[in-house]
Amino acid sequence: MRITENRLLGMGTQASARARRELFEAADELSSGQRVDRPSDDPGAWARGQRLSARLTESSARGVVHQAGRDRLVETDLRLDEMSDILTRGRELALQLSNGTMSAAERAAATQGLAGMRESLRAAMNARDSNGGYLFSGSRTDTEPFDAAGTYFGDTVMVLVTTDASATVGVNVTGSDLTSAGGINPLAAFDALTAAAGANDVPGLRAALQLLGESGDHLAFTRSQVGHRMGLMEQASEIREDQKVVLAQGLALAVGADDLSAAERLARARSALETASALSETLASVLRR
Amino acid sequence: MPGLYTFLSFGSGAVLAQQSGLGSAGHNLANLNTPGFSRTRVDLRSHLGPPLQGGVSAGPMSRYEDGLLSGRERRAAGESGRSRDLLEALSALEGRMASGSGGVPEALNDFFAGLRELEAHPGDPGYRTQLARRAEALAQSIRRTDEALRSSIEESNLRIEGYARRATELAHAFASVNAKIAQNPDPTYLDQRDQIARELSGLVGGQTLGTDGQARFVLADGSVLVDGHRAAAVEAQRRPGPPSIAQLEIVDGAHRSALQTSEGQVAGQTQAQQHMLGMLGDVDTLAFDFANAFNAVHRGFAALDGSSGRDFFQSTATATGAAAGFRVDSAIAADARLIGGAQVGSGPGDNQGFRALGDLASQPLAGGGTRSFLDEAISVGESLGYAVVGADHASTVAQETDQVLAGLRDALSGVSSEEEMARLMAFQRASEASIRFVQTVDSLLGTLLERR
Repeated sequence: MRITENRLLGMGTQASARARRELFEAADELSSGQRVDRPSDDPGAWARGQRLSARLTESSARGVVHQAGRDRLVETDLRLDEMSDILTRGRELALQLSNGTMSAAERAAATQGLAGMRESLRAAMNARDSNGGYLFSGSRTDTEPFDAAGTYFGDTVMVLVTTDASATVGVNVTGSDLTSAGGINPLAAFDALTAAAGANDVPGLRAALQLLGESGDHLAFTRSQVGHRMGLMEQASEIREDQKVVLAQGLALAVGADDLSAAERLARARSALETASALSETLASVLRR
Repeated sequence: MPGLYTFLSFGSGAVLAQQSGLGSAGHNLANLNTPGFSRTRVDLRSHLGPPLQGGVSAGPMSRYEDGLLSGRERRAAGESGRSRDLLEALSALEGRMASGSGGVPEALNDFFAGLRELEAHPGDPGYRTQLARRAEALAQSIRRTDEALRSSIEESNLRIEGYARRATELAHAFASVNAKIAQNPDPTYLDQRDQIARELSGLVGGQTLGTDGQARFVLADGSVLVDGHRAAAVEAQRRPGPPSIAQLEIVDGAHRSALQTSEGQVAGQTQAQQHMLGMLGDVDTLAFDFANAFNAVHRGFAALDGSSGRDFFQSTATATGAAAGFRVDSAIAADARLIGGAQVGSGPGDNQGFRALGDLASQPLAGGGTRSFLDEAISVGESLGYAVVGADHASTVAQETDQVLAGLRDALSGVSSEEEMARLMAFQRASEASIRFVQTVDSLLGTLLERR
């Protein structure tokens, strides 16, 4: 087959252009660390990358939710612990006051301390979270749940957050659990204790002691539930962290550059370019003669 | 036995023949770098029989050319033009869609992530404002995609209109060269016509039928663009939109007919437009379905001021134009407290609305109820990716075919300076020998005349 000089020159130019393009692509892949940058680089891998990237973003958003849920449960637990402490101290005082050796005057004098404990209990029941929302008012986080009389103004909404695609965990304890509707009423128990102490009513003191004990037990049960939910959140966070690693690896596999292969292609393209350029130069010098 | 005068005639004939050969080789060398040039040759004929009984003469200058190969070159030019323009148009669209801050899938995903985060902070103004911003980014992303598609379609329209003008110019040039060939079938004119035909094929496809001055240029759909010395015009007409689409017509006097071609750059642009129109429809449907599904859920939940029944996104009556009109409700954009995230009657800490809205991310509400909105958005980009890859493969194959045919053409018609130099020298030597022969005969004649 006849091959003219023009054809040879053309072939050399094409080979140079092809090698230059390959060199550019390999260098771009190496510098960006991305094999797939746009859909046409590898449509299937790009789509896989988009889905994995979406799941990673969703996972990060869930991380925010899990963290906030855990924070809220921790704060709730702290406040419930505080309430338990107050109830324990109330029970200890009630036990002393119900002792037959105490005088009426001593019992009357104790009412001031009992009133202080009640206010501390109410303050714990009206506690706010770090964002300023009330912890025990259900969904009405902008409403103080308990007034001075102990009337509840919140609602019974359990705030659920999604832990994964199909599960939810409650991240609040509503104040209704701390009223008669929930089976106990610690504020009313303190009121009864204070009234009995003021009236030197020993049977009343013993009845109030009973109420405080029941409230304490209920709080302990509620705390165990909160602890269980914290455990669920913790578990969900761990699973999410593991998933995140797997997703990131999948993403790197789908769209990330294989440095070794890119470097190999870069070296090959560079060598091809050098050969093509040398060939073109030789041909041009032959033609010049 | 011929006489000396006959020898003189043989000699001068030979000189003329060698001069023709020299002319041909010189012409070839002069056109070494002329695109589309076919090398010429001069056939020398010896006259051995009566009445001359000897001598040599030059035949007409002819081209090294293969009609079959030329036909295949034109067909390849049509496919090359089609695949190249398709690739360019789709790649440009992909570039447009990639520019800016992320595509629709990313924006959609960020938006749903914002909803997810609000589950834990339903009443938080900061998170609400962030969601409103992400919604705005999503709306901008959808509108940007729509704009990218529309401007790409318009760019293809402008190209098609330009191609129509160029095709008309070329058709007239083809007819004009036909007229010249009819008068004088000079190889240069034949080369010119081949070049014109190749460019025409690259633009609108088609073939040359015939080799003389009455050659026709016939398009793939059978319509005749050039018939001998008469050329029709190619005109672009806009089909009303939006988006308006340029369509080509062959105009021959008062007669107009639609040009339907599957070859050439015009076909590449038309096919790219078809793909873009499909994508435009997909993006419109995605925007329409998404706005309606989201609004339907959003209306059922209460804002921080207790109001409910509000649309989150402005919606259109039909899917057509939904992407261009996709916007966040202006009141929500101005005041993120109006985002409905709680059950009606509940307080600001209720997140049931955000959970319900967030769950839309995984529900199969797009693509006719077959996939999620995210999957639909991804599939739009993925289909463009596959289209670009397909066009790239077709373009690579066409380029390879072009190269093979160019190689074959070069092997037949290309000029080799070495060969032509050798021919030049051979003709020069032969010419010198013929001149010596004439001089010898002339001197013999002179001697004879002196002796008389």
